[in-house]
Amino acid sequence: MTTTLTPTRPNLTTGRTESRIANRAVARWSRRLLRREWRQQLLVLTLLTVAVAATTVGLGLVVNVQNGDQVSMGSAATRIEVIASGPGTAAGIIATFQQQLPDAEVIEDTHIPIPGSTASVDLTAIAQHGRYSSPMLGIVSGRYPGAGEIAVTRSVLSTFSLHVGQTWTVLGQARRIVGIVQNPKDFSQTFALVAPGQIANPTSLSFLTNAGPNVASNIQLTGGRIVGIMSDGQSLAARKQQQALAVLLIATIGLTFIGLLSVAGFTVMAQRRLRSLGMIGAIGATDRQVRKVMLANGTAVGVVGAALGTVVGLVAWFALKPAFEKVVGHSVDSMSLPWLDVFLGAGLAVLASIAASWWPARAVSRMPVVVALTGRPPAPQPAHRFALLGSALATLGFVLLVLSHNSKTLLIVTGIIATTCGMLLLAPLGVQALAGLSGRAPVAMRLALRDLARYQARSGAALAAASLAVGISATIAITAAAQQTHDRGYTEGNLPNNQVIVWIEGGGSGPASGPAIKAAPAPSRNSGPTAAKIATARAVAATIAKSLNTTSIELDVPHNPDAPTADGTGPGVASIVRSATHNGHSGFEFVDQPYLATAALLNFYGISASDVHAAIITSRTDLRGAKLFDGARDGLHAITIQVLSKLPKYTSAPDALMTPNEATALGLTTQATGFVVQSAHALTAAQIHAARAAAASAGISVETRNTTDNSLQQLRDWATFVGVLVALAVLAMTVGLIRSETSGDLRTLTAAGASGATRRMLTATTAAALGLLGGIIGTAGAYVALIAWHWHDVSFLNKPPYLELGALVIALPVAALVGGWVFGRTPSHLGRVRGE
Amino acid sequence: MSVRHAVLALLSEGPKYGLRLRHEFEERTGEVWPINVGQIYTTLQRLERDGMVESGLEDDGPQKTYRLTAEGAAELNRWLHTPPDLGSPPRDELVIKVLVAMHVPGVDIGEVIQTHRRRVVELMQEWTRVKRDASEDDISLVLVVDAELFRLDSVVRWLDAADSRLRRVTSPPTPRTNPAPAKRKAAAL
Amino acid sequence: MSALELIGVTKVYGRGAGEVQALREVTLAVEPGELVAVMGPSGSGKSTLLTIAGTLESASSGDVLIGGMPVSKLSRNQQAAMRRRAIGYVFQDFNLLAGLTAAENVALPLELDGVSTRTARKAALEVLDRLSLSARAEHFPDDLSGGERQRVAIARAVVGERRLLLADEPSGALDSVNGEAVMRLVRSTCQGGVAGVVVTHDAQLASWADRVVFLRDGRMVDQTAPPAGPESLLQADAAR
Repeated sequence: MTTTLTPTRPNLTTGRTESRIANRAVARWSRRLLRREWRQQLLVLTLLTVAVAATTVGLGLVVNVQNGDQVSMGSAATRIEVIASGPGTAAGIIATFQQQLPDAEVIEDTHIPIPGSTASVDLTAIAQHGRYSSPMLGIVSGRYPGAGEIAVTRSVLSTFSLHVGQTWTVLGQARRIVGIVQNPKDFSQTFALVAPGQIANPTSLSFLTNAGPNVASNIQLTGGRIVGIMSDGQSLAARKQQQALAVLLIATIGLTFIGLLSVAGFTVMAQRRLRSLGMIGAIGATDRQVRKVMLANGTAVGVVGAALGTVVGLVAWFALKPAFEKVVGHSVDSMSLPWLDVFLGAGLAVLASIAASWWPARAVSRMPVVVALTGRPPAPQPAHRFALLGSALATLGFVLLVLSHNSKTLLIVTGIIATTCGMLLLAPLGVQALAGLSGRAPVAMRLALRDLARYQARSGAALAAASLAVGISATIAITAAAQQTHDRGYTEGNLPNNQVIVWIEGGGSGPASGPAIKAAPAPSRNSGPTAAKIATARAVAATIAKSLNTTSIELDVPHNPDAPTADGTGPGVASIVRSATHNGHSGFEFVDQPYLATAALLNFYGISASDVHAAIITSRTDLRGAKLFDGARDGLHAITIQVLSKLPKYTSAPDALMTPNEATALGLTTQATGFVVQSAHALTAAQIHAARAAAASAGISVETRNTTDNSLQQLRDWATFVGVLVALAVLAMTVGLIRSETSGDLRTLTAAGASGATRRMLTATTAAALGLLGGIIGTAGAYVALIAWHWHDVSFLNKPPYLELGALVIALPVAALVGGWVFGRTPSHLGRVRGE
Repeated sequence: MSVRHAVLALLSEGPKYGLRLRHEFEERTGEVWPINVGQIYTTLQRLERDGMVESGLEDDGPQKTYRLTAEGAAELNRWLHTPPDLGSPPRDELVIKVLVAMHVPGVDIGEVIQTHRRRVVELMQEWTRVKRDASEDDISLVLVVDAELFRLDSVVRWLDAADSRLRRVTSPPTPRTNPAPAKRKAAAL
Repeated sequence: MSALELIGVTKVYGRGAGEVQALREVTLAVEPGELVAVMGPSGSGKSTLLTIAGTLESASSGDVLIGGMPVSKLSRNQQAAMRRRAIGYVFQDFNLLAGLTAAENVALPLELDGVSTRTARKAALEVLDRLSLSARAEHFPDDLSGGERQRVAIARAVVGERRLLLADEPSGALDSVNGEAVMRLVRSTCQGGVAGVVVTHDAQLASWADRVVFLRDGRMVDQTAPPAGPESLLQADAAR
């Protein structure tokens, strides 16, 4: 101790060994800090884990939400469809293919009619362990059928009232049902399965091959013709690109989410440690060492959170798989995760966490030691300054998203981040507005809101995280709703579930939407049902209507009496068409079947005659520019089209009506084609059976809703539910994080005689305020981003899911309020003073 | 402290002769209060007259020893428990000087107070030095010095209080732009 | 050469109407082995003086020389190194790091300076032993009494070869006996050649210093005369 002051200046540089030792000392202290504050760390860690897990699951979902071409192609690259020209030609066709394409696997098909229904069931022969077909075939129970045996899907069992073990006579051949099967790539597919070669006269043959689509042009067939070639080439590339974009979106949003949560967490941590950091600064730790304490913390939490989050995410993914499969209607391979992206995401989460801890660390290390020692946060920046920057950033993000044209990656990523950061910076304004409004509120509310305004750094980041959670679920809900109104063929199906159409002949008014290549020749109605047939159908419709306590409405089509009848394709029924070029031949393709706008039909849909201003009224928004084919050769006419949303949007329902005046003007006559029967309630299986039986006995057929597909609605509900849950969880944790900082205030309040209710009120108000602002900002942000995304077709968004958005904006703060009240008990360690 | 009660206290430990009483007295009070033998003997004579002590000759020496009587022990006990007279204010010279300085024109009262403050602190420094050099066992010296330090400390505190009171009443001599920030600064420190 | 020299130091907080002059033209030199107390009422700028002397804050104008080296010419990192090596700082509220044991707290400045963990620990234990704290070396600050905590804080401030010991109300949170023990410690440290500055409003604590400096409104207004011998005191009193 007896040192004398040396006149030389002290050496103020530090060597490498010295700095290593110093770093070790700092690291040791930060480890101890971690151990002491594990409760707070736990909150941050949980937030990070939730975010990483959500991102992992999200990545799994986007990659697997589409089943792609595997539905009909299995693992092959090309599917060539051949229609046999007559009985007995199948063997020759198969031989030809096997000779020219040694790897080709054949699938034989024929139709099993459903009595009394327009629908039919495929009878398919697929090899048990087909080279390419195995992804398309799954045995749910029982076994693969041998000779004289058959396996069916569940839907077939119910349609034909069958049970496993029973002998079923199909197409004149008795077969025993030995198992239940499904197409794992599309659970809704209805088919019966037999072993290859068991179908006597397949009507169509499909060949799966790995060769490119061009091989088909070299194949010379006798006894059949190639009607379609499906190739994964282009669609696969397109799908991969779309998928990569989705992955990128999810990853960007996920990481922004992670980043925001980390910033919120570490800002609170830094605040809590301000004094400690000031202390080691006073002892002589350099700014770098001070930063290192926070960085070490960020790294530790980041690594543990990312690892834990990935594990939790994977576990959740595996656990959610069955539910998810049910929603999307096809099987999902648990292992088909974008692993690279998942791990890359986890790695980036660590980086995000480090970056998030670096920011407050930098702020602390730049602070004068004396200020840090007081433990008081720096005065908040005026909110309007943030708001200005926030608006600028949000606008920039908006513009970037618009400019990205949904495909330019860099613009998308920067656009999303800019929009999110803009929203983050706008958050303090909202908080301050709330605090300003609290002037006359009870003291607990006032205190809670004022705290939020005072500690902007942490409340802002917490709010941003909650907003983003809301924003994500709002985006899913809005998009799903828009998709549902937009994607008519897929979502609405052929008919509503409470309608039956009794077709006089044939059935259906148009092709189901699907790959264009599949487009069959335009179905055409026969020249004219006989009066007897019409009467029979009318009687059947009346019977069905009577059993459903309702009446039937006749559907008429415009018919051209002058149409030639020579080529057997059936003359006469007018249709809406569009010019098209197919295989080098220009012509026109069928777009829709117009029905006659009879007074009864207009009345049925609640349309008054004065609403009609055009020749064609339709619910379809895609008919602009279409022409009318009058049923005779080359008889194309320009028509006026009016969109009327009151008309149904189902593919088999009359979604386009032609005014009788127009029909008359074009020289078209009226022809009955079917009868609509609408029940007050959804039809039961028994009612459908009865209707089919009635039709079958009269030799005609009925059409009912052919799918039970409402997966998008389910997905939407699911997303909203999960989104609200995640938002609530994030909210709960951030509120916990913020309120944990105010135990001092709580002590003072208690000492001043505040009741438990007051203390609960504090937490509840904090939660509700964050919930309300988060709901509003999140939903607004989601809309901003979506409007930018769909800038080129904003009408896409014109049907908002009010219920779900209402849940987010209103139910979330209410739930937060209730939750805050219930769980906002006084912490048990109220008497304890903070250690440092 | 009266010598009379100090003698009674010393005799409460047992019979003692005069010279030893003086020695112990000085030792106990940390040699801060020198006392001569005459003062001791005068006190002893008065105490004997009042029947508080009685004297006798020791068997083995020529010196007269004194011992405490029951009455003396009672008096000592009574004195120990009687609070000193703190009720009437002493006529403190320092207080008077400050009061006077307030009304003398051309005198900077703050400077007067500081002069006294400095002087008192210097005194305290000296006492503290005594305490610092005292051995750890010398508890009585430390107590005596403490008493002195506390007394002087109270003077400093009074000066501080007077200073800030006067500063609040009279407008400050040094021009200050705004008194409010100074207060805020105080809170920050 | 003075261990610490403040030359015309002025510190201004805030700006415009809210401007506060915490220190005005303070000039002060503290020699090795000397203990200086800074006294003044709240808000007189005494804590600011100490934080500026300890390089925790920078002066608005004027210069601070530590061991003859002007602080204003040093980078933030060099100032930190200065705090590790040359300056010991004792705070009123102890400011021990709760996560580290007493011994680790004391060893921390040495370790931050790159002294090997073992050597730093040895030095720390030595200092703690000198302050009769060896039994408490492995305790965490939360488990120590107030007096013990402040002694550990002083141990941390004097460990290594410090030239300057700065203490801000080092016994503010302690009772008078514990406070005196702390001052004794500071005093004996200075006798070993360290320059000390103690900031206090307590005259009893200030009287441990060789020199007491009075601060008022950020200005140094007075200081005590150099010490006279203790004999003068006795004589003066005996004469009374």
